[in-house]
Amino acid sequence: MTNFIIFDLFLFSVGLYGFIKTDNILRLLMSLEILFNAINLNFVYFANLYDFSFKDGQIAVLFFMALAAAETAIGLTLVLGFYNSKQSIRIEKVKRLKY
Amino acid sequence: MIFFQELYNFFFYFLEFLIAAFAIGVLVEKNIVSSAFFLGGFFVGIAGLYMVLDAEFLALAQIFIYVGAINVLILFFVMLIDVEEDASLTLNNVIKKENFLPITTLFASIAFFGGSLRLITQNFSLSNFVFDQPHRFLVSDLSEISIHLFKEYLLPFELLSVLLLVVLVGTVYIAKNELTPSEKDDFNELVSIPKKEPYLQSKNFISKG
Repeated sequence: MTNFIIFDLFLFSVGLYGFIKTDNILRLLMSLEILFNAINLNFVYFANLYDFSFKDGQIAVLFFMALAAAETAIGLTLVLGFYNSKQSIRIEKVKRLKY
Repeated sequence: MIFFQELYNFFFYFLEFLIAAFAIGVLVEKNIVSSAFFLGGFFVGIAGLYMVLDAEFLALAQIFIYVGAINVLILFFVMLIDVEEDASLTLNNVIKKENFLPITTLFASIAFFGGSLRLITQNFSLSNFVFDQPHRFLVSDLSEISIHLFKEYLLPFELLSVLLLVVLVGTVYIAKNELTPSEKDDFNELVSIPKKEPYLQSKNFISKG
């Protein structure tokens, strides 16, 4: 079991590192998806460790998947707004809250 | 799906290596289209891992939602946006004064990973969980999930539909382009009924037969 948690933690760290040290916003959204998937994997693994009819972890993962999809859609639309107004998607150009 | 421990181990380690390679490839690739395809491969790898972990419905839902919708959406936006080259990850001229914050971030994330590693290997033990699984294949994954989803988790389900409606409206509002005044005039001219011709005006009110 500790092997799996180590792997999950590694995926989370990879996502977090890419989230912080990336230069453009699209790669940031992609590492956000990596973070979401690491968390979902954790829930499914712990749901698997109990009885085989324990499905609560998988239902939580369903809700997280839908939430991640909605968040990615809004984030990408904001990226488009940034590109329309600033013609660049570098993180250092994002200085104000308005796109 | 623990038939044999060796089979489980084989699938798990193979998928683990693949998923880790894809996840690192998302960050390392300079070309962002390659990076998006590595992300697609990552999602498929995670779906494979869900299959090993007794979540067959979730594996298919993962492929549909993440690969089929989210990855395609990311690729559409990569297509629409002209992405400049990133700063490369080579080690030439890395140790400068303005690189202090990224280098400390890298070491901090390694320290986070290493520190949690020690915590986890010391405190978790396998004896708390049960591995006794009789009568495994009498129920299917999908039927169990759907029973719970409509009995105990009905309220989050309905709230999620409201959330998706809000997200839909918000996305359309953000992405809307305002018309310029000349385009607005053209549109009004196209749509409105001209005032000079009463025959045409009355024609809209008279029904045939």
